[in-house]
Amino acid sequence: MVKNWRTWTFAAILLLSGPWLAKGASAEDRLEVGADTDFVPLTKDKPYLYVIHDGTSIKVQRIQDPNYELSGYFAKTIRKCPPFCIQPITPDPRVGVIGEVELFDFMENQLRNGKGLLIDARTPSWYRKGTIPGSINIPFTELSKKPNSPEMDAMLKRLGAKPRGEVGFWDSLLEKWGLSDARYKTSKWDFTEAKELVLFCNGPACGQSPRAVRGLLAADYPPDKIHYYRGGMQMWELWGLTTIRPGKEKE
Amino acid sequence: MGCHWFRLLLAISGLLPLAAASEEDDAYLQALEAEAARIEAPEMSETEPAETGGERKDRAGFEAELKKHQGTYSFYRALLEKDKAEVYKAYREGADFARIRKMIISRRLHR
Repeated sequence: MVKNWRTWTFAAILLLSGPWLAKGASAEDRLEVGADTDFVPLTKDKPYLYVIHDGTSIKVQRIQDPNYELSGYFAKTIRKCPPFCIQPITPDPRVGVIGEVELFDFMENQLRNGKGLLIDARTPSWYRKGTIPGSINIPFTELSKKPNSPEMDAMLKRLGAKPRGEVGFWDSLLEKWGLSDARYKTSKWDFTEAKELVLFCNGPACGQSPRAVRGLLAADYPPDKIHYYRGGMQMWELWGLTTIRPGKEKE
Repeated sequence: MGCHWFRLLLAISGLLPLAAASEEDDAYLQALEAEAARIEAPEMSETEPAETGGERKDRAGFEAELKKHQGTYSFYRALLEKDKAEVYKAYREGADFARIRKMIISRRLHR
């Protein structure tokens, strides 16, 4: 009788607490990163992330000081135009534009698994002042060399494109008829293994990465492997995200 | 002879747009470098407050100076003693304010 009573009590407790338990374990609740603290995460479900920069793991997060205000160059609202004019949303309609959240995903996926490159397309004098962790500096001047020039060919190889050499008659025919995958192939290059790129520069009024994007497109780099982070350094700094001064300790 | 001049003219006219584009690129690069050089100026001027004349204060003086920058100071206050000492050492060695601020933020965020 006593055993029976205990069983029923246990069952009743389980029944009553069921919805509460279920709610307690729901994904939505677990994602409330800042619920009990003042910590401001990168996104609702991502408090911070790590990227490798020059062999060192860097934690990317937002500056948590509530009094922090942007100062210096990226706080400026106006610059001489031309040349520092507001850029269109994309340098080319075939190229996708991304924001910070997409860049976080890129850092955690393509960059981490070696299939992508985050390119700071500014001249070295800008890059040295501070950049986005995980980026490499390939100035736009190097990415906009004349198509088919030795410099541009070397650049394409560096980005993972492979020269095709002599394409046989039958291969060419099969590709022409769509019987062989030619999505990332041109007569000269095979871009199948070419890296997915994200290019950025100083921000919406910067023409350096747009020039780089146009240079790559002129050299037949596949547009769907190029992404343009238009916000650039200005938006990155505006959100108080971690920056790094290349060649120095992490900052 | 006439044909030769015509060819030369044709070649020159073909090169003109290239020369113009190259000139435009050069001008853009020059503007970029000038802008990059200019932004170093405010960072440098922020580094050495006029009243110090470049002289470095003792730890208390440094912290008093830092208090003028509330946000940075709130980070500094929360640092471990060894990190504070490192920041002060960098200050003594001549680090500018921008660098001091970044060091503080870095140590606060990455500890």
